[in-house]
Amino acid sequence: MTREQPQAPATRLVETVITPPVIAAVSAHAAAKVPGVVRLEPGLRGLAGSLTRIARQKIKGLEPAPTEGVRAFLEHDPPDVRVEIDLSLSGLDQAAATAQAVQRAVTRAVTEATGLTPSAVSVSILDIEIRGGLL
Amino acid sequence: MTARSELTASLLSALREVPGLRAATPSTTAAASAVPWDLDVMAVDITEHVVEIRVVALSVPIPPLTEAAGAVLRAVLAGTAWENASLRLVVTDVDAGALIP
Repeated sequence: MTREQPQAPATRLVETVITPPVIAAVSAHAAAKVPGVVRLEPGLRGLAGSLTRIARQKIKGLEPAPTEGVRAFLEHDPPDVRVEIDLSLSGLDQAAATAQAVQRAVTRAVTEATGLTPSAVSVSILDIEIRGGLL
Repeated sequence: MTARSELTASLLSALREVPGLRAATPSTTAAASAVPWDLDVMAVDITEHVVEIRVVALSVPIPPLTEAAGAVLRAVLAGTAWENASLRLVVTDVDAGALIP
């Protein structure tokens, strides 16, 4: 996903490209902080991708910003950002209300951090901790 | 030193002065410190019409960072053969520390 900063003449624009790992990291951080979310669920595919990313970040000398449980999709034509999140919720909260809170939190966080607004944030509840994840 | 390698060095030098961003290369690893050249050059691609620099965000929000970096890097391009080239900043990743308030 790109955005052009309009302060320069047309032939001298600065084009900024935000890549999916950035969107996913911001989304994962925002979703994990929502009350009622016990954990994000990476799944096998997510774990494989996460290991690759962690290895790459180690090469870069970075501390890995977790992206497990989140998939970000960027389309360029037409411009579009979509986020999919798999998570487990506490049984002490209403699942639908918590999922909506996650959608709002992720949309706000991604917009604030990157300037890109997701057109869709899909939340899949893979598990509910009956005791709220406390025991 | 070619014009491209000189420009790359100048761009990286300018980028290091921009807080919140750094070149997306192994510059902070122990291995990187053992090699005799600047691995940050791997983050820069210069073609005739496009100058692309890959960066890692060390803080958020990102748009003000790339805006500041764009202005600084544009100034570096001024007066060179790439003065009118497109400048592309690719944010490849975000550091975990950037998301901790």
